[in-house]
Amino acid sequence: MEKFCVDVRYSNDVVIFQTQGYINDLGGETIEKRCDDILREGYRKFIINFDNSPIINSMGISFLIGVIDRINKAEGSVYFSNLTASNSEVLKLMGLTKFAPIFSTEEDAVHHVLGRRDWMRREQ
Amino acid sequence: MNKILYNFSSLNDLCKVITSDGNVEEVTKSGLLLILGTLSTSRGVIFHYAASSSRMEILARKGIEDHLDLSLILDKDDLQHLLLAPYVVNIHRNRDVIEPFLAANQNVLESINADCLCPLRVGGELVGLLVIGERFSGGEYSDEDLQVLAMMSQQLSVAVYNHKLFSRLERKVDENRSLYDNLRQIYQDTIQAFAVAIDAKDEYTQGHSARVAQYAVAIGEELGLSGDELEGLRLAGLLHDIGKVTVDSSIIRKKESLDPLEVKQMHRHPSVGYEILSNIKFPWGDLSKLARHHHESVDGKGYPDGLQGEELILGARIITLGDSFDAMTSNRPYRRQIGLEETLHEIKRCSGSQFDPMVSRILFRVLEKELTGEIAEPKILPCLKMDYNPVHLLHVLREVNQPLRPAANAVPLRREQPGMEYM
Repeated sequence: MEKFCVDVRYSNDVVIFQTQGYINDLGGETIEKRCDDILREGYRKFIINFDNSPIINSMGISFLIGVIDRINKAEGSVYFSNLTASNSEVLKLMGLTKFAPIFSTEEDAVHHVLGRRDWMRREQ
Repeated sequence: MNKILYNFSSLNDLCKVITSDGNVEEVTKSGLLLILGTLSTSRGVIFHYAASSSRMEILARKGIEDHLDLSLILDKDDLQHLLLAPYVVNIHRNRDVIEPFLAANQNVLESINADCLCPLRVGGELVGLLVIGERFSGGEYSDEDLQVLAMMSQQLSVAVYNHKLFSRLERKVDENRSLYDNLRQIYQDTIQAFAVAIDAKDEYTQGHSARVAQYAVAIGEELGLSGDELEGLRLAGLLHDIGKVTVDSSIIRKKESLDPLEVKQMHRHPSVGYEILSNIKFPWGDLSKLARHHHESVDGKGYPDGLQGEELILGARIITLGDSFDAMTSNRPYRRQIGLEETLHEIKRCSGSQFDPMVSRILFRVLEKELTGEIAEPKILPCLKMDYNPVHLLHVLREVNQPLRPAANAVPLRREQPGMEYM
């Protein structure tokens, strides 16, 4: 089986995870650990791009819940992008999109996060 | 519809996890993750029930800090309640069925943010407890969620039960191993004591059996024999003279030549040793044959059976050489020890007639390696009670270790590689 990996990129203060491979217990745990490390560095805005991860099982979902939980507790925000239609629907059914909004593409998610930040600045 | 498919898929995954060949910790951890992912919750714990301490100890956890030492206590009534409770006890809907248990463990359950408890049972026996936290997205679990949880917890029970069986088995294995080690030690100590008793018949032979054991093991190691084979050689070395217990001490201590009757009595000791040892079943092979044949010669002129060549097992040929090497390098009632150089030449001279040339060559090689430091923990040199010049001795060893010509009727060289049969 192809080895799971997470590529981490940064766009300003937004952290973008690009996952590759099956999101099961191993894949999910990898994302959770990387998230912990980056939260400790002080980053609070995350986008997870699932373009190269068409399969997510329930063990993977339990880790995604863990990721959302950690980011929420750190008063951060997380967004998902490039999910398949079925994965998108499962996440909706699980009620996770309330905490991690889904965007069709990574660019949409980035624009949303940066736009929201600009709007917040204007408000101040 | 998709939710049903997702639940089915999760149940199928759980089946695969539980029937996988992973260890119990991995299986229960994966099972917990599957259940949490299916029910959309971030916290959960699987406890296993330890009847001996009347406690539930953590087997797997998710979403709970590792440093939290969580365990649940339960009394006989709680145990009964958990045995009779439904598959899923929702704290908000039917907490009354296990109320005293919930009250007694309130703090721990609050730290898990517990919402549902699933007693894990197999065949009317409580094996553990699955505790599930509140839904991550808020709100109550649906009836469908609780039904899925009931099914999953029943499957999980099997995995936890396996853990219990495995733990019991491991404990038994540890107990048996410890018992075996103790017995083995007692056995070895007893044999050691026998060897001391055998050698105590004569002050000249004190420590003889222990030295023969050392020499035999040194040769066996060089031959690449296995651990059990080496242990067998060591014990054979310690016991090879056990038949001497029936020989009159005055004969053993006699300084003059033995008369024919005395020789006859002395020559009986290998057969007597065989009689004694053949009644004992040793775990390291048949040591009785090694005792019987340690005075045989490869040319067939030894005693008691006059065996020759291949008829003599390797272990016996090793003990024979070790026995003679010690006899030559020790003082005896009837003569002084001979020097090491002379001993080596004598062994070479008798190789092919009395000794197996291959075994002689191995002895020479061990001595050479011990002298050059190639063998880190020498076994032979520290036993020798004589002075020697290492440089000169090395020279002698290289001289005697020239290819040994077997006598016409000498035993052919047997396999000189690990795993050979030596008994």
